[in-house]
Amino acid sequence: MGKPKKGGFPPSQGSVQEVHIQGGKIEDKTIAWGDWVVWMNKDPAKYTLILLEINGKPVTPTPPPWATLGEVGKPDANSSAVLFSWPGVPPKTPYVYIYGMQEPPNSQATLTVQISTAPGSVPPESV
Amino acid sequence: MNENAIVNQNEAVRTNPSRRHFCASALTALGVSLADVISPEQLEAAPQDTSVCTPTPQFQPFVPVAEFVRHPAANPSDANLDVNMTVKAAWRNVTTISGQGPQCKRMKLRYYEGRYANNSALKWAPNPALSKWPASPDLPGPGPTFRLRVGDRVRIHLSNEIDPSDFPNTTPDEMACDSQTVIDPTTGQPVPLYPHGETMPSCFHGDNTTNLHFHGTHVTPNGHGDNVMIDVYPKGHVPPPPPDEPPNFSEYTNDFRIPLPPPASNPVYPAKKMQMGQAPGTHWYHAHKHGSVALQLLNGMSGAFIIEGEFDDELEKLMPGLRRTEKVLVIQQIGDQITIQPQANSIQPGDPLNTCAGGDPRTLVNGQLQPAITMQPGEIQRWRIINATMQQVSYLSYSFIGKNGSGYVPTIRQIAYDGIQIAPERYNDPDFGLAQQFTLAPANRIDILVQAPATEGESLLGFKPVHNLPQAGCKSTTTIDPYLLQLSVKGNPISPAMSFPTVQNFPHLPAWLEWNENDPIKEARTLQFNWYEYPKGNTRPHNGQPAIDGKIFDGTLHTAQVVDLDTREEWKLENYWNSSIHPFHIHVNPFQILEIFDPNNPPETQLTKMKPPYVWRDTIAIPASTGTIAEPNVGYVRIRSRFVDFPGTFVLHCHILDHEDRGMMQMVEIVDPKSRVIPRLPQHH
Repeated sequence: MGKPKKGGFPPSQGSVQEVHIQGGKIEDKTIAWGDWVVWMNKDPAKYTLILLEINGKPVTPTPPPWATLGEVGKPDANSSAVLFSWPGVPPKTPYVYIYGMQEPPNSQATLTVQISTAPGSVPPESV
Repeated sequence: MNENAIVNQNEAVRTNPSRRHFCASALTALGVSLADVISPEQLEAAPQDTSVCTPTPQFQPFVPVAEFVRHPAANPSDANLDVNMTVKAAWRNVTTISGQGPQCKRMKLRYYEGRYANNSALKWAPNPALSKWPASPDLPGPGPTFRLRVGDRVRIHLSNEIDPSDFPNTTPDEMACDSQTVIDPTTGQPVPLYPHGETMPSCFHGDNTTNLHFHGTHVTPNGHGDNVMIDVYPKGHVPPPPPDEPPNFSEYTNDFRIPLPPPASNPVYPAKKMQMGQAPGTHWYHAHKHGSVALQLLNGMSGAFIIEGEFDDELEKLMPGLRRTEKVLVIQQIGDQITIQPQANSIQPGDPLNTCAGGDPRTLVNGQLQPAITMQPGEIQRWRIINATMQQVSYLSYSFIGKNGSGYVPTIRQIAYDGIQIAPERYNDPDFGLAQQFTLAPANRIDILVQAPATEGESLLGFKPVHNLPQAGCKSTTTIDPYLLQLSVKGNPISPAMSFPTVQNFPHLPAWLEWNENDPIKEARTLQFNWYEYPKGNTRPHNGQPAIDGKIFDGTLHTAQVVDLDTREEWKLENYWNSSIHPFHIHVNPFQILEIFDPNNPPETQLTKMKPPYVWRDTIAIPASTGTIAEPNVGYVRIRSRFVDFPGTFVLHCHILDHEDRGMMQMVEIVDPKSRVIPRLPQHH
């Protein structure tokens, strides 16, 4: 891999990344700075997603929920688009967010945000 | 964790010394500093995901878009072209600038699928049996090209087959503003980002509702003509359409006749003779649903709408074979979401919002990244170039540069601007026909004749920002590979030899494109492209929401210009923004450019007074102002236009389309004074 330029990398062109929640489990995801996340609830249950850790450090006090999702089939089953953007030149090291459901089954997931997305993290299916 | 860690990255590193050399030399040739761009080494190091995106070799042969071509009508009242256009959605691979260089991203995009109504074959060169365009749903790029002739009747049946559930990032309510949140990356705090006080109808909304605009046409704006007041809803629309909507609210048919030049009869009002006529030329179509125009064009919902006429016949006589080798180039930048770019990741009421396509999308031609067009030595081709982008970073100046630092470049001659032929005097003008560079703002078109040098060689059509990189809207983060395509000249010299038209034999302007200086100018207007509620204090009020005359578009007479039919008017268009151009576009009636004042130029070149016969346009970039918001030195353009032939309702707006969606638009109501009634504007989207 080439040596990064001093001062880091410019931000990428963002795109929309879907994170699916199904069977009480939240999908792990790796995205690039500048991407949006949309959480999509496939379960007949309401969920509230809260942040727990940033780069291994617990977050206190807990910030407001990242998203509150209605049951599958309801208009609010998907979150609005949530932007992960770094003001200025983003860091070379990925940021790792651990977040989870506020209520049972209290699943947790990892959202990794970095300067470039990883191969294979894109959805394979077609519309 | 390693300082440079990339989670799950593909470690394969591709090296290509020749490409590295090429990038550096191309940048050098354009005078672009490497200080603000990614180095070629980093470009080479970009992760490539071969399982998803096939690495694109450079300079692949240029592939034309399939064309729907007119046919003679058996009955004079029959359509000459009958096409079904369906709006669909698909995952597509899009080459983007990523944090480390070019990278493929998977995006779900809306697109047009076109078929002849009778399902006959398109006779597209790579596959003559193809009956629909695009050939494959996963190819990014424009919709099909339409090729018509003045006098033709065209019927386009638009069907919206978008399933809104395919776009979970859009609000399910087509009648409500979109919403976005930004996460503060260091604290994890969610901060509401949009709509940030913007309200219907001038906010991003209705992402899956659509319609069609025929940009550059001089046809009726009413009924089934170039009517952008139409909403074509997706199936499953939420909330249900109003009771007065027809039951087939997800379909609409545009059905109109392109007028013949004067003295032909008006196709809508047969008792009247046409005054203006339709300029035969390079026009285009695109989605024009207020609130989602920017997003749908960013998705790629646009295409060429070529209208031929006497001008083309005369060029063909001068240069036989020109039609056969003609190239239609649709320039696009593709993305799947409008970026709201806050100044920082904390946003307070009143903070200005910048909106843009996000990052720095690659500039594609017919969906291809940097294709190669091949010509024979000495050959002349006609290139029809359409800037179908939606943001101001694509306000670029283009010129050929020799590859690898060589001086090998073709000669170009401009013959039309915005699909309207220029006069022989302008063809012989160093600022137009003779210029070896040209500028395209979003929505501009240009027709050029390109003559290859007499020897074999390679050249690049490069581009650079007109002034410095813009401050508002998208912050351009890179200037990698700043060229559009490669010209490859090879083979035997063209025979018989070809030569450009001369000033003497260049097609003359038809009488209906000449301006009678004795015609009175009925009214002079000034339109100020500024912000909502400006001037109010010394700052940009209300989030810096784009507006005209301090008012955001509301679909009523409050934001309308009312003009009498059959009158001539002179308008001054002023730009109060010091951070962005505003490409002014008005539907139905083109205009002449009289004067341009660009305060960003050195004093001796700030004011450009055009020479008659004036060049006709339908879109003109109003230069950005200098100075402060409180005391601006405004950039401006003076234009004049004839509001003839078609009464009715249409719009004028900024063609940086996120500005338009957010309110920098006005209604234009053309009223026939002989049957004057109080304008009754339709409820617009």
